[in-house]
Amino acid sequence: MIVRRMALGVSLLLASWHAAVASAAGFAALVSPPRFELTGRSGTVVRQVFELTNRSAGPAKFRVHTADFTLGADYGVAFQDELQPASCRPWVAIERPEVALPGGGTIRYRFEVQVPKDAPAGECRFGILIEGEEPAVAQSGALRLPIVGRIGIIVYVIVGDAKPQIEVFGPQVVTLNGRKVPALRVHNAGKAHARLSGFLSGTDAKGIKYDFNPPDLPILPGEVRKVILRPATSESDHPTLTFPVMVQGTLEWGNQRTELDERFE
Amino acid sequence: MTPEARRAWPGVAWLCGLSVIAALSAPSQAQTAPQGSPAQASAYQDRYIAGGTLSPDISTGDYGTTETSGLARSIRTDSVGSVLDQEGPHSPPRTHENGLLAGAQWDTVSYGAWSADAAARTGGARRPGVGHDYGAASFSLHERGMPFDEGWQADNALGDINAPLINLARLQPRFLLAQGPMEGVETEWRGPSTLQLVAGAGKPGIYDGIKVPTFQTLGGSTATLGAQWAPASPWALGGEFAAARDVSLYYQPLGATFATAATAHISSTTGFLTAAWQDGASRAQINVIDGTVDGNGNSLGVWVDASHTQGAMTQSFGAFRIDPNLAWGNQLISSDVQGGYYRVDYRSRRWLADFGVDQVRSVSGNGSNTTFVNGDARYQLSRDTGLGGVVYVRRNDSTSAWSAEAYLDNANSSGIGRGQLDYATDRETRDATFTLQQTWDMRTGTRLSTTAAVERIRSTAIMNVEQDSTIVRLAVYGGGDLTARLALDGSVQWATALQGRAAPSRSADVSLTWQVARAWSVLASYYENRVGSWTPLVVTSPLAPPTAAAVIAAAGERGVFLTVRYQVARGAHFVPLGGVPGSGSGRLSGVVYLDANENGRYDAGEPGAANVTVILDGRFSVRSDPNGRFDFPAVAAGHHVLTVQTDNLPLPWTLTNSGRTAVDVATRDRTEINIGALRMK
Repeated sequence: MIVRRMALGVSLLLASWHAAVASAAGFAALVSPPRFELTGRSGTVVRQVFELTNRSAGPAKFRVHTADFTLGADYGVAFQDELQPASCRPWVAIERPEVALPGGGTIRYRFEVQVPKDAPAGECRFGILIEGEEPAVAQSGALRLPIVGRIGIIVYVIVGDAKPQIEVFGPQVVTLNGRKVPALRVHNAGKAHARLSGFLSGTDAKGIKYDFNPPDLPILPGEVRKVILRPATSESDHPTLTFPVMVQGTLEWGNQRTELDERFE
Repeated sequence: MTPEARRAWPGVAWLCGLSVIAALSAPSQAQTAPQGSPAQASAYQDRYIAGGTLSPDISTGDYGTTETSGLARSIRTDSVGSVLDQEGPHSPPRTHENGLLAGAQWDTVSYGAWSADAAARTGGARRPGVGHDYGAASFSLHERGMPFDEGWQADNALGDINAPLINLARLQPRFLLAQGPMEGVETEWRGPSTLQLVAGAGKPGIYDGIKVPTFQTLGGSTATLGAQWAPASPWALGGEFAAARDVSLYYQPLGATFATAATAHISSTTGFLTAAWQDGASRAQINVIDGTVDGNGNSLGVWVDASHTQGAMTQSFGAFRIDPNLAWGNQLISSDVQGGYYRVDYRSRRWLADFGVDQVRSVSGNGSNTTFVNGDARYQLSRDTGLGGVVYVRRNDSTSAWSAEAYLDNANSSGIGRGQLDYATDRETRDATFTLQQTWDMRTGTRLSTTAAVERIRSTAIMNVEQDSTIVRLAVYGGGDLTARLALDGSVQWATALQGRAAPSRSADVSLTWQVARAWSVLASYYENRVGSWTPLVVTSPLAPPTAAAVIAAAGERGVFLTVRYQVARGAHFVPLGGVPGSGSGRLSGVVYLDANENGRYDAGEPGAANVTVILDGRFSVRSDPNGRFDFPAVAAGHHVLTVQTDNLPLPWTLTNSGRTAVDVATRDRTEINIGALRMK
């Protein structure tokens, strides 16, 4: 149920943004890539480029600025314009605050991260927000809602030898889309974000064999996350499990791994 | 609700579903901030590079227009000038491949999507090894997806095209009926109950040219007529008839044993009947072909293919008997063979494995009896590391040959790497190769992969002269945007003998694209091809289709090409392919390439498939460039299917199921899809 609410929340959030794309010519942009995962050493400058394309008919102006961000329980992103404690945005320099593009035009937009000489090992995270300068109007019936379309690029810069350190807590069973599935509580005690992957397999109470896939979503340093292990067979991506379920295999993140042998009931 | 909003909301609802997936799987995030919210207030003042004084690196995009009304339409012209130098004992003096290419596409409401391509060439010097002059021109006009009542659709084409085939003949796992190129007309109609009617007629010929594709007819005429129908599930029936009069054979088998191989021209009449049954994961198809070449008696061929999928495992097997002297139009097909095959494939998250065995005997007794075994396995050790191996064994009456390959794939901090060991041997040749490949992580808009190999080859295959050489080979494939207006793309390969005697090999195809103005761009490219004096040993199945006659490449050929391109599109920019005005769109591009090491990745040294047609959703087509690259700049977000017309692929390369590749395009994203052709086993 929690997961369903999360999905609903994200979908409502994004629905309103897509309304801006669909109903207003003022904001139609393509950004590539959508995410950067970079490394940098103390005292060096990390330089990168993203491409911003104006997909609208005529010329368009975009506002570009940085923001801090947090990930909600549903992995929805909340951006904060105000400088947050321990933010690394003061290290960041972007090319320009405004971009004017002709219809169909593309800019190779530059940004850089100046890692201070005394920067400790850790992770610098920030977002780059691209906003349509002209407010768009989403209309549904009599309701007219002025909105500003916005795209966020997420940037991670791992400084020094910062690494994630994953601790796996006891197993639990949660409900996903009406089906019970195994899940793990995971704590990232390291200094960099982690993305879990791995080859997990298991057997349910009926003796049916399954593969289990952890989601490729970020677990930020210090966070405790519930990681759902999605079952799959060669016949179905959404099988119904009969508990208890035994799961074995290797859980990987970065260049680290841990063996898993858990019973879920 | 305004009409615009009414149109927008269904799209919004549809995109919402996609958005949830994108939000949970991709890092790109988007949200809405009500106007006047804190998001508007800039509480932190960003720093700017050089105080915000950098000159913006802006390109004017893929479209030379702001005209947005109407359905998608575009036009492109290339004016090509070149200088070509050839080396070799009988090479002609310096030649020029100068010409004009023009292409246009336009969508219509009631008459489907139209496209026209034309090329004209000046200069007519004969290239070494090519037994005819360049053609002077080529032209084709296609109409795809013309709708009719009751669900009927038609595709029509004229000009330099490929002979049509019914789908049941095209989707063959073992024996292919080739779609020969011809200058003529064709039509295909699709109706209810998967009814399909095809017909075509014209003069057979071949394509030629490096940058300016031209068509040369070879004399004679061909015609074909076919139909297929699914009268009741799970059955489908089909039949096609092909005739050729006074034509040159397009393909010659290696070690020619074909009865009329020495004849300048042949005439053939061939009929093909097929019945297919499919029920869930099981499929079977029986095929009968009957025909005559030059009136030399009737020849009959029968083959049965079946497959069954259960869980992660697919088993396929078949039996065949095909008399000698069978042709399909002016195209040779595998003939004078009888036997059977069995194949099993297993796929899981960690394992990819297949094993196959072919037993082939000659019907006439004039050919050889061959057993061919192949095994291929790959195991994913961890997320970043996989290892695998491939073995081929071929044994016939007098000789045997085998090859083995072992490799390790690793996703490292610089990209994806592979180390590979190959060994192949037959009666005349021993060939061992160690290869290192790396696809490098690069900055946005750039790509780079490299290959380094050392090959030790001992052979007496060429004129009984013993060759013992150690060859080092380096290859680089890469490209990207140097600036927003300047892009570099190309592949370079170089090989030479470290030890022993062997003429060096060089090939290069490097292009520099400069966008001069909104609709104008200039492409400069350098082309070089020098063939080395050795041939790597490749052990192939006896059931691979007859190999194209080796058009003997020039001992050396190089050239410089300069292209001035004018390209405009109207409507398309805001009506993405397969979408509606205002719907989200992304870019879909990639490479059709020959996957020599069958690792599913486009590696340096693997050639692109030039001039093949890539079709989006069966409706919108583009042709690959000389490097095999194709590009759909604006595709509606959502699920799409790419297919490739395989007729221009060099044999023995083939694409399973016409390279059918399902792809999801996300709004504002760039999707890169590489489609690898495999050598027929």
